[in-house]
Amino acid sequence: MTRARPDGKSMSNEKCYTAKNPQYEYWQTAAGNWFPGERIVLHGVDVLATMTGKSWMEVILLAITGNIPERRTAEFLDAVLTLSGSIPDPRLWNNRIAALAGATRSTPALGMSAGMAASDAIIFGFQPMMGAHNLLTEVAGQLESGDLLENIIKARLERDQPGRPGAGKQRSLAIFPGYGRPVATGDERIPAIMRLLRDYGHDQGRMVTLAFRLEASLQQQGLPLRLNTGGLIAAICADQGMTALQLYYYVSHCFYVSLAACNADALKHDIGSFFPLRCRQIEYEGVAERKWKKN
Amino acid sequence: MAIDDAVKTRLWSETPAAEDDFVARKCLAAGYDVYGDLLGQVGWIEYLYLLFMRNAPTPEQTKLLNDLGVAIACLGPRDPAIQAAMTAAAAGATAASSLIAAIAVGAGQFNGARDVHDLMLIWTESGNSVDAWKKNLFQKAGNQTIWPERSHPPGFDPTAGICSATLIQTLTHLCQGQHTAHLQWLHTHRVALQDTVGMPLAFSAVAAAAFLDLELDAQQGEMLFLLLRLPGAATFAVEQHQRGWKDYPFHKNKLILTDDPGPA
Repeated sequence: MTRARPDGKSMSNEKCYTAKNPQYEYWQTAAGNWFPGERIVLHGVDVLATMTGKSWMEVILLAITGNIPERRTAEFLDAVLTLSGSIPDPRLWNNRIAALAGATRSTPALGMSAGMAASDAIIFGFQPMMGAHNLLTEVAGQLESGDLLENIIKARLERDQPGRPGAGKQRSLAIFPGYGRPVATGDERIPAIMRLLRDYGHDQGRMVTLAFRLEASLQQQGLPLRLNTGGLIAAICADQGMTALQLYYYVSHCFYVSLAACNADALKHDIGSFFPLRCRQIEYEGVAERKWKKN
Repeated sequence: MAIDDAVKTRLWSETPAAEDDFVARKCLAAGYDVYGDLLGQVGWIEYLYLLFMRNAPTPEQTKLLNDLGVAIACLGPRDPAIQAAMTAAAAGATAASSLIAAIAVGAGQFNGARDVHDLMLIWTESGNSVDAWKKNLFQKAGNQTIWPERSHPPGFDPTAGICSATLIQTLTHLCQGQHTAHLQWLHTHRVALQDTVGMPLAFSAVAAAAFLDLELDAQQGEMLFLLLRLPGAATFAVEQHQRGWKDYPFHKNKLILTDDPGPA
């Protein structure tokens, strides 16, 4: 193996830095391994020997957090996704891509994975949910430091935003991700999720409480922003000790339901029939017709 | 001595820098020095052909691939693949999300890359024979696994009433070149084939013909069709990302639920 010269000089004219690649001959991981014909290990757990009888959500949480959760925790987080995750409307952007893939007779995996990728959106999905987790965590820390919530909100409103979430050249997350909603104003899922939280004794969680306190304060300051389900799930996950990244992995499972439903439904419709556009539905705003230069 | 975990390729070779095995000093593509010889001399389309075929194209092959590339680079915002890219962009998703969406939706059997693949296989077996097409288009196109069941023969558009003037212009132009036997045959027999199938030709058939004339196989054709259609998806996605979700069709009152249990 060739290594960088200790004097920092190179055989070419380039400065020679300390190469780091040669140290990476092996991949060290505690995440998992497959021992062909013998066993499968996930985060130190022999899956076949230990996970029999466990729920799918327990396996998911093991993969995400590295630990087998309490059964009741898995039940609770499973029930949260049941009520919150899936809106199988093929007009919603991620679902629409899955539906288009079905209508063009692509494969279900392509349609669903493309829909999942589009869930990295700004106006819904992963970005605002992670943003809500970060928001609540930051605000909680500021409150602990003695700041007043009203002042915290005012300070956030005064921050420079590179752009708006809905449109523009440098679109960016809303100032209060997890609050407000495109297309609709309220969120029909909140009451059902709150009933669930009460059933499991999590309705007074620190972050859930803060999420609603922040909503009330926003309303008092004349900002018409209501907590949405994404924000509530972010608070729930924070109360369960999840990081924003762990929330991302967890929530990805909720999109599967609507993506699969919309893709499967489109496959039952005629090919090419998903909201086809007529030529006149293109509203051109560019320059008038002109000729390409000829040499 | 055998090398552990070697990547075997007929395309690419690298000479490491003397100072670091992980840094290339020289890269060869199909035997050509990419950064010492090709760069500055080779055109993008020539290089694309070289990467796929591992031989330099003739001027006629370059022109054919170039002109096909122009024809299919952007099929407009009504194209489902481009709509998918714009949909991801409208929601503010990442650039990669838009291209992934365009690839996923453009991969299928509605003027998609799978149509190109399947038609190239059928065409290779059937040759330039209307009778053989009649027999094989319907019989050979049903070999599906993960792909949904076929609703129509590959290379045809089941939703259009007529063959588009833009397709005819493209086909007429492309078949004027040398060594374009498949394109010329498709141009000559277009109407007969359409009458046989009962629907007009799609751009996927024109691409399949051009790829066969370029002596690509079905897998190479499928890949190139996916790749060459991305420019339109990319640029529409950039525009839509800035316009945002409100300035994009939502089909607000056009979803009719047929099995509604009603309010709780």
